[in-house]
Amino acid sequence: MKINKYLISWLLILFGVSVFKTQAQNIEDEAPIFKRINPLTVQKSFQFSVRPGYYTPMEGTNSYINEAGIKPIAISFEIVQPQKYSIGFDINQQYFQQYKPRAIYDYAGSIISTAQMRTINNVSVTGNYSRYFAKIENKIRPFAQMGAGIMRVGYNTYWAYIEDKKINYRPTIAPAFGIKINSDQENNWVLEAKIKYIFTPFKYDFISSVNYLAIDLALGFRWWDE
Amino acid sequence: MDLKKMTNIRFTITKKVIKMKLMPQIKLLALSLLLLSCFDSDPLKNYKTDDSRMYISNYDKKINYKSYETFHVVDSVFILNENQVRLSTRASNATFINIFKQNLEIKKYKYVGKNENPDLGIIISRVNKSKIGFKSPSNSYFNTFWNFPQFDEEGFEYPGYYPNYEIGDTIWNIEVVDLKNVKTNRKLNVVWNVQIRGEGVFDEDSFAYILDKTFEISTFLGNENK
Repeated sequence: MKINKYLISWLLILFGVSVFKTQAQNIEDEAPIFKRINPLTVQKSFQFSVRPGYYTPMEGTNSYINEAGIKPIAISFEIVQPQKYSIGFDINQQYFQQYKPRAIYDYAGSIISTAQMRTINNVSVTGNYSRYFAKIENKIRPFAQMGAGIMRVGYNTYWAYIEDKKINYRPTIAPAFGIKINSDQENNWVLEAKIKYIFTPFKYDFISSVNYLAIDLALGFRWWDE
Repeated sequence: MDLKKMTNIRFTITKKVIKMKLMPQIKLLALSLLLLSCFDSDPLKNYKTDDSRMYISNYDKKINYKSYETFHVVDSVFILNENQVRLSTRASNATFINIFKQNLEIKKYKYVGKNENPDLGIIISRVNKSKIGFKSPSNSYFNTFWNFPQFDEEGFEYPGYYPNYEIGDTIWNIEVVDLKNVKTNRKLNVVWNVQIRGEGVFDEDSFAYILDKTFEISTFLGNENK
């Protein structure tokens, strides 16, 4: 059921964008066409994106949880300059959980036999700088990105029903490589895919860092200001 | 028409698009995000009864458990609540005590009478979804049973480990006290503390199973050489 709801949400978004595209095409361009310099390529634009993804824990985290994140989601806003760069920010939420069947844990002076539910729930806010390898008027624009910010790491292990919770705010970095596919300039939608590595120092019990690789897909729309 | 005017016309159109056409899309996105954030995320909903159970065996690594030969169990079970203790009147208590005794005998410890100088004194209590503090209050009955008024204020000592009492749950709490060295220690050292937590642990049918699991993880016990 969970997946269904998730899919429905994304279908709704796709539907919304397609409706918008149709409407936008009906608007007539009243500008004369001679000597035309497309103003959209000389002005900065703004982009808002919703980004689901696939997040895989890496070394440091995968000793604790080695299953992919459940419905990770991010929203981002960026200011795309006509030169080959953009700046913006991401708000990113990632939730991981993994059931561990009954096992015996030997702590200092305690032997514990229990099943566990291991969870991490992170929310991060990062500022991003992107450098593009193609001009703004290009439809396809590969880019490299560096993100840095702060992450609220929510570690929680259920030992049977007993919670062992640790919440910390930690600096985080998120370098990424990706590709941006712009629609026609009369249209406002953008598709984006990037591979992102996220690292956050966090050490507690079974975990030595919050550390994962993400494939991040984005559906965004852009607009221009005067 | 100059470039600036042209640009203005274009941006006027874009602004209109944003205002008139984009707003439904923004609402749609907001709705989708809301949907995504409303997913049910109870990580423990698929737990089975056995997953709720936790067997904890606290012991002191410095102690040689082969040095003890005999034991005696207080013939009543007590109910712990906050810092109070009272007698339990459940008929099934005797079954629990007997199975516990049998398991210790399998480990080659000998059951002796209260006045036959047992090496280990044992008191068994229940905690029924209430909280107790860091130290178990069951020592007051223990002191009365073995006539140790001098330890009333100090209570039990937990050398080398910390018992985990703070969380309210359904718990069998067993304290195994070193009586052999009580004169030299001048303390009631709890050399072994057992907690059995979770669903159904007070059901008589489960006693043999949960005690079997407890002794299975308590590999430091045993007096085979004697």
